[in-house]
Amino acid sequence: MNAITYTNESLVAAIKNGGTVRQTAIRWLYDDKELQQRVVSFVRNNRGNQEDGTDMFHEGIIVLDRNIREDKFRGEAPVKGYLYSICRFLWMNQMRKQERVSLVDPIKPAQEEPDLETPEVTFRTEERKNLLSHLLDQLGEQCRKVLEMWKLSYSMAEIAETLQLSNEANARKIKYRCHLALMEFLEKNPGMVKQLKDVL
Amino acid sequence: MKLENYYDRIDQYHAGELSTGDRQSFERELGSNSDLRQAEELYRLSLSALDYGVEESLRNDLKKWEQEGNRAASGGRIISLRRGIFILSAAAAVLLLVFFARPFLMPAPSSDELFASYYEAPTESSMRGGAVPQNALTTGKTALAEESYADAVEDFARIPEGDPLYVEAQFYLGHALVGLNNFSAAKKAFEIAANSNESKFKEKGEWNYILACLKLGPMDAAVESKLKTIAQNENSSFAKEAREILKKMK
Repeated sequence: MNAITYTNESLVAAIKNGGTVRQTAIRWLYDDKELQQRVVSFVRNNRGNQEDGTDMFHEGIIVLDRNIREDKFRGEAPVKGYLYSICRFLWMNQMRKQERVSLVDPIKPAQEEPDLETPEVTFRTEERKNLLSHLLDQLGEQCRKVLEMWKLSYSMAEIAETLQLSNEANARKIKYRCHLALMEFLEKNPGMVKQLKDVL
Repeated sequence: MKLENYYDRIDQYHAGELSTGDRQSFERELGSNSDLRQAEELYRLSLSALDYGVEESLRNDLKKWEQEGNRAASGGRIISLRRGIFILSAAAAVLLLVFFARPFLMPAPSSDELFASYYEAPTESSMRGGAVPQNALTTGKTALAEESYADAVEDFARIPEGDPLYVEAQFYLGHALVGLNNFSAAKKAFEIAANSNESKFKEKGEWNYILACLKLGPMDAAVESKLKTIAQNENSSFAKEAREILKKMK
């Protein structure tokens, strides 16, 4: 069991902080079985199954993490309520895409009330996913891990320790070399740069 | 272009590590130096790719945690192939037995499980609206959305019987009481909505009244009869759920 507990503010701060602090906060959210069950129940009551419900909970956490890191979450609603709204939104969107509308919702939405926060969900198109995935494939496994950890604000000491690099300075050198290699790949592929700019 | 000539400054700029003067000078140079501008753009595009990588890593972590949870739930033991085949054969035999003896062996889901499966708390969006001025109903709904159930109960209870908002307040009072695990009081509040003439809350009130009764258990004949009526009424929004519950209760 996780002994740590968070307030709304400390949870948002932990995710923004990045590194192991973010990882622990996300794990804490993930471990909220009651919340997960609420999401699964909603999905199951709306023509989904247990697996769909679990997937929605996972995708909801990914969107929540992104929205907090990108300052799109204004903190006007409880984080868990916001996460539940994201999951509902994602599932409803998926159902609409499959033209399986008419969702079962005991309490139908009434008129809008603008002062309550609604989730902003940016969808990643397949084209965008393929492009970004192809770009990351240019990096070796170690490069990719170092850069992703750096992007999540892990310290160089943490990166070195996690990836068993000799020291902090070595981690910094690898980060520099790998990031430059990624940028150079883009420089040599102007077509890809154009495509990326179109989809981002 | 030699990207390494620009990398450190761009990196410091994005990390917010440049002094105010250096930042302003960097931004001025972005306007005049096309190489720097291009390098900075490549830096930003590379960050987008890394963001995608971060999301993929989190997705993998979530899957890993789920698998760990599933393994922990099932005991997570490593068994040999021979032993595995033996266990699988035994399990198949037991499954066959259970299949034929199911009507006699399988317990119906508990009322708690049924309640958890079918109860849906109102969400922020579902409580929005009404051309209602700032009053106890609005503040109650806000408190309910924030999961401050005690505050919500206090607000909804302030609206007296006879007030035009009374039925709506009782309906949401029921949900706030569910949040406080006070199902007997929730049942009474939902019953008021169910017995009202307000079509917007009557059907939902009745449904939530039944769910509250289910949670309190055991379900009496009158409530079961209501459930059957809903199940048979194709125009009811909850006919499908009612049929499922009746089936599971058997």
